Amino acid sequence: MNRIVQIGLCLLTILAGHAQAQDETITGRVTSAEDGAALPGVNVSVKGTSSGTATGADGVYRLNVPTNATLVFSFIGLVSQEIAVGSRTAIDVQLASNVRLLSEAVIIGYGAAVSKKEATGATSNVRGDAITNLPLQSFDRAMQGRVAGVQISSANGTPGGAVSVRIRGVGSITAGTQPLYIVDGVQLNNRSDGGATANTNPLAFLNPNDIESIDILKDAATAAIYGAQAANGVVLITTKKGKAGRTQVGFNAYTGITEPIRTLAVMNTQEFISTRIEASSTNRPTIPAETIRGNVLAELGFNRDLSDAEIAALPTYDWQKEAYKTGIVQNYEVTAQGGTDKTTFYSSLSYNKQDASLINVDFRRVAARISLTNKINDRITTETSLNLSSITQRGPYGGAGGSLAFGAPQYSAPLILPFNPITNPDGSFYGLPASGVVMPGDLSQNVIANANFIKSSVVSNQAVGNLTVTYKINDHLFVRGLGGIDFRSLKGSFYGDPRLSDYFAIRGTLTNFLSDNLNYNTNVTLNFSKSLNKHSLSGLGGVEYRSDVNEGTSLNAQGFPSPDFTTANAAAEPSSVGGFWTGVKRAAVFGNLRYDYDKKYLFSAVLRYDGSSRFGANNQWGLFPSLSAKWLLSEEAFLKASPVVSDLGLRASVGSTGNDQIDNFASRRLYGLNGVYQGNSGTGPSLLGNSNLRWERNVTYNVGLDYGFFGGRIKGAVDVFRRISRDLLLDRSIPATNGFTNAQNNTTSFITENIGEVINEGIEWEVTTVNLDRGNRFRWETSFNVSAIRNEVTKLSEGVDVLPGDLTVRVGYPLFTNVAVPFAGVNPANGRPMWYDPNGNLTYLVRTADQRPLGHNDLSKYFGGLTNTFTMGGLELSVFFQYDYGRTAYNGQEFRLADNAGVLRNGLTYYRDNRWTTPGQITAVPRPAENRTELSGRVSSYQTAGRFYQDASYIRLKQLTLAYKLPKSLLESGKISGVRIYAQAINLLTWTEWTGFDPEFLSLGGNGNQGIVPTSRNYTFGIQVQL
Amino acid sequence: MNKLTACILSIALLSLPGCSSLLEVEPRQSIDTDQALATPEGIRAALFGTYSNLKAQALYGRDLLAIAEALGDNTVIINRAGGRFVNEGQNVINNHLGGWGTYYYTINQCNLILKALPESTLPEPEKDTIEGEVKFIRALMYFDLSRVYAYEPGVSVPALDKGAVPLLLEGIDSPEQVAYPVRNAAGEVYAQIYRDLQDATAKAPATGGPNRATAGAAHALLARVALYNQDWSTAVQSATAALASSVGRLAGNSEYVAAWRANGNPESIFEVLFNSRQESLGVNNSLQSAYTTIGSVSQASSLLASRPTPLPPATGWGSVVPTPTFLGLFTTGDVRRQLYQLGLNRSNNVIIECTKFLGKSGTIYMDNVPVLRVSEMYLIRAEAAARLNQLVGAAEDVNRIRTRAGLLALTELDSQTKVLTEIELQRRLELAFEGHRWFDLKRQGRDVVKATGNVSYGDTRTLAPLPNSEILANKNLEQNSGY
Repeated sequence: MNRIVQIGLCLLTILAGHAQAQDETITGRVTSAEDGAALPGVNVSVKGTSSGTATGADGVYRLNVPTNATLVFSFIGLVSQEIAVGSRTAIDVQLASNVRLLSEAVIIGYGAAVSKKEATGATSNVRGDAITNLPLQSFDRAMQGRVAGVQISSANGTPGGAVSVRIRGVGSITAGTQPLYIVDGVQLNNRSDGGATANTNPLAFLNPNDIESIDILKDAATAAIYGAQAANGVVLITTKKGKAGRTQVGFNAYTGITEPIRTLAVMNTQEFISTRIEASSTNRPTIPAETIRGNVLAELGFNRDLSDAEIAALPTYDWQKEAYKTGIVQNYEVTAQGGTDKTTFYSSLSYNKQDASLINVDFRRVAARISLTNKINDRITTETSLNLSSITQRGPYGGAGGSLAFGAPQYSAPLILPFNPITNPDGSFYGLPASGVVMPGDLSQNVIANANFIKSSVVSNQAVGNLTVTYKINDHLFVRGLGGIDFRSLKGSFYGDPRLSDYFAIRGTLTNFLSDNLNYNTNVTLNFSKSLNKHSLSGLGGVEYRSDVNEGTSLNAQGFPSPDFTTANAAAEPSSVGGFWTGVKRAAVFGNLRYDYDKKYLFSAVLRYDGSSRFGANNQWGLFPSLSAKWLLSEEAFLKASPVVSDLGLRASVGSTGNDQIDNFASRRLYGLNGVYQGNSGTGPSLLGNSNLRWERNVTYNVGLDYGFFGGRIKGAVDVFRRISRDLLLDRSIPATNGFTNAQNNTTSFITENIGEVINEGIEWEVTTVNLDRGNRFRWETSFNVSAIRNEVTKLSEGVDVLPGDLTVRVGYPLFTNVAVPFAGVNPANGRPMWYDPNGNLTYLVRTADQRPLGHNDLSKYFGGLTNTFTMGGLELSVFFQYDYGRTAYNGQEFRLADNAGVLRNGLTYYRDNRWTTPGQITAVPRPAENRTELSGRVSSYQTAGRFYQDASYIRLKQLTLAYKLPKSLLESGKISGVRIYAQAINLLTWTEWTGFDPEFLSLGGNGNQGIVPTSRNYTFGIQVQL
Repeated sequence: MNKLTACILSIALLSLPGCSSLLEVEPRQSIDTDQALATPEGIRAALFGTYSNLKAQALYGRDLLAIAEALGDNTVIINRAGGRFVNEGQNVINNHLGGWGTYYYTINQCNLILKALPESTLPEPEKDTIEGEVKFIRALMYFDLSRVYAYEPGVSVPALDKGAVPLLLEGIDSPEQVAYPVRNAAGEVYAQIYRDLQDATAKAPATGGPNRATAGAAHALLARVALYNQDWSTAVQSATAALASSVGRLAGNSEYVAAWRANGNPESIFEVLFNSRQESLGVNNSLQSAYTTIGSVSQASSLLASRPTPLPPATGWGSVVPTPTFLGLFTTGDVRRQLYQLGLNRSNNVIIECTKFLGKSGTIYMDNVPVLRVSEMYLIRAEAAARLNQLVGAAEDVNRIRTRAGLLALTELDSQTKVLTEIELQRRLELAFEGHRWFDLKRQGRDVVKATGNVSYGDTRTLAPLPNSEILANKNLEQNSGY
């Protein structure tokens, strides 16, 4: 780094001075282009000289200038203007806010931006106002459906929970698939921690309303500047900055409700009892029906002589209704911004609370933010921003991301036998252990009591801040240094209440964990730009360093005197302690060179040399180049005058990016801890290592067309890409006989190697049209985007067609290929389920070895969104549809709900209604059978995965917003400058054939949608006031 | 200016990769393999790591006992734990014993210690005792692997036999050593187990049991291995040697129940120790919970004294319970019948449960697990002697177990068949719920007869399936028939 500073200082010495002469006096007034108000403090200077002045309070300036001078009007937050004086003596100027400029510009990394026209890479942009006031806790979720080529899915419905963002498909098998996020230059650590307690999302630290703009670098042309972290794309977030002028204070509040999208139709008490009798009869053909009836009633806790009339009178309790409830959404925020020509600021404070549709699961965030820009002098500008947030998330028992815990309401509510009451007549919870009452059925825990008594939460305190210093060496050259910190501390706690059946015997349990992550990064860049005649050259070069350290401790204690004591010191017996430490360091040098001729032919080259401590000693450093070009056809003579074509640019790029999202020490040969014996800690081998480990390398080819017709009434882009992900970091499974698989300490036998290859190819189309424009009276705008992506695994280890340990990864198939033994329906003769063996013959036996691809996969074929915005005066209606097509997912939840009383859990009425009952009946639902199996012999369970794959395509009315801006005439009396009232609905309608709670989920941890907190529907109402 | 940029870039380019410390991060919760076994402390820690694997759920933590019992004919499964053990109880294909990876992990740990020992700076006597202990553990692992996944020598079903298990004896700790072994023949695996146990009997310490391997434990294991191998004379000799060792003693009639209520069973020759609360496998995975709804020793005795209304809440699942037929095998006066008592209400079922594991450590869901105990040695010696037609000695040993249980000594044990029948009955009663019955039937090539459907010896369900991932990862490895 010292070297860079030295060079920078050297550069100071080559600054040139200028002589000048004074000839004429120019006067004028500078006003705002938006409201015509006078702009005080605007810097007015003569181009190429140091002479200048500033406007007064009335916006008026007076300046002596040489002949043929050019005046430069500049003000922070506004678009600078250069005006040749010519023979004039008075020049009035209107300056526009550069918010507009920002949205038209493309951020290309390390603070550099080019205009949309000049961008040679495939990038997409989401403007902050498109996602303002959505009742979503993190901006990643808010981007869903708004960007071509970017597929965003919530892992589950927890507010502020994990989100998967896949830019241009899935290009890795075992390494990470999430993009690099950069907020105001700070590279974030986006690992989701604390999963067992609550589902956290590190991006939730930022109030989405504080975002000015989100830029997504999709191809290597621009992303390669981030080298080894860019293979999954780069998302650059620019937060709001202050605008000079009068301090503006804004208040914004919205509130509303959140409710379950659907609940499942399960059997009532009478249906369950009769189905159970059928199931029991199937396996006991020789036992008289009366005896079976009596036995079933007895096993369900009833008198075995109950009459039919008495059975008919038994009540049914709706457990889902108690688990999935309407919750509250609240958001309040205050912003203040303003400043002078030297210093501007933007500050905000916000509070956000949202309940999940599952009881006692919620999200609360307090976030404060300040952004300061200070111009020390003509040469040095500092920018700093600091985001502080504290998030408290209450999580469900069993975790939000998929739970099979019997005590988890999100899993068990539909499965509990329906005649079990939820509460006793006195209002206390039914079936708690101390009462001596045991709930019949496999699920004998009162999950609603669990949800009420268990205290499970994670508090994430996060600070993301940076300081940027820009030193302008001359008009063509500046140095920019950035130091950033992303600090996060997590405090998790799980208190298992001693009143609950899981914790009654151990008299309560408490697990606390503390972990913090310190991620700091720093970079220095030298930026230049120079034009000569029709040639323009610009670019930057720089160095970067990043370090990320994560450590934590945990404790578990048991034996609490009463449920009122919930801290660790109250526990009779400490039970275990834990701790961990891990870290990674990265360093890089990089450069970008851009050249254009006459703004018609544009070229850009990027080179980055990247090092990461994660890789083997032999391969720590990697080189990532990219080349891109653009031909702006609309600047050519033959189109320049065209009344139809206003913008037409053809882009092409090729480049390479890397992925290092693997375990920090995957390349090392390690011995780890392995249990305790006789009070002594043991050790054992934990990792075989691979000193040749190197980067996953993505090569992306992209051809794109940016278009605009009729002066921008129709505009958009089409991109075709091919992304080849090579040297994929695959865990080459080695036989467990080598001694590295141990369920005890969670090690598995593998060597991480660079052996796989996956290809993603696709086409993306974005279009925005202004369908009707009657000025202020009526305007109708439509935005549409669609992406089609094809994914294929083209290579695994030598001679291996299927990834051992993960049958869904196979050469010649897409990733996430669904694999099972295909279900062949039910034998109409006897009601037994059948499968196809590998020869296509019907069989009753499901052999593990017969599992094979079913011809579909868990990746979407097409996805995108459609927004229609109608504006009429102050009234605005925005209708946003989001769709996802072609994904076939495993409905693991239904896997558990199709037993037809084969086990003592409730199930869907669908399966009861369609069960096989009579010979000759054609149905896909087998006859009810106890333990879902035939009585004896070599039999397979009826419950096999092959039966439960479903089309998870959906179209959803994701967002409906109606807003009204009060006319200025109503506001004149007070000091209020603007009032906006709005109402919103999220996930209002969904069209899908999926039969589970909701088709939007990610199968994390292999449980599919079993026991996840489902997505919810929200209605909110809000008001925004600007002073 | 471009020159300057180029200059900066090239300087940086040249300097960065040179700064090797720039990218240096050392792990803290693991250590480099090459240092792990370089010190005496390192080897001792690795030895404890090896023992700790025996506590795994798939091994002696639960499955080698509870799943083996569920598969066999002593038990019936009461479905009151969300289906736990139901499929094993019904012998539904693919529901079987497992633990493949844990066995081989432990074996590799043993192999690595054995490799490091000669170079180590440990005192010579300690080197020997560690070698003895490690070889005992390796032998135990190969023996358990073999009986779970393969046929015993002499009772193979040739049409279905794919060999025993791969024998790996060299420690693996680098990618270059990764092996793709085939399944060795049962004879080869048994020969290796013999070699290890012979070394262990010579080198393992005489004292320090039963929670650590001793020479006595090595004799005891060799006796059992020989019995499975139909090597009757070795079985007799080794059982005798084990009984002569100072580890474990036969509990008398009056203290028999108390012996099963104590944290450590006085009969244990080798017993896996669960020491601290954090080692408990919890309600879902513990042996106690698999067998009984009763929460503690004191609760068991208070329930015997009086059964209150309402009953205290059930704390375990109590899924794997004795069949009435099995309970019917006990005759009046048999003290062992006291280890079965009426449990608590779970899922509207109150039934007689086995109470050999009751959270005797004082921590619920945590019990030491006897692997080899004195009574078994008498029964092994009796069976092997009977096979050798030494009926007097055989009768004497089996009567010792009978009289200790409070039964009369049988005097009419005058034919091999009669002796063997009585030995089998006593084995079944004495070692019930300790995971023996399934393997006792299997080693003799016998059918398992049970209400949920018989498993005849020629049925492929006799052997556990190898993990499918293992078959995919190693093309040299053949899956057991029928999977």
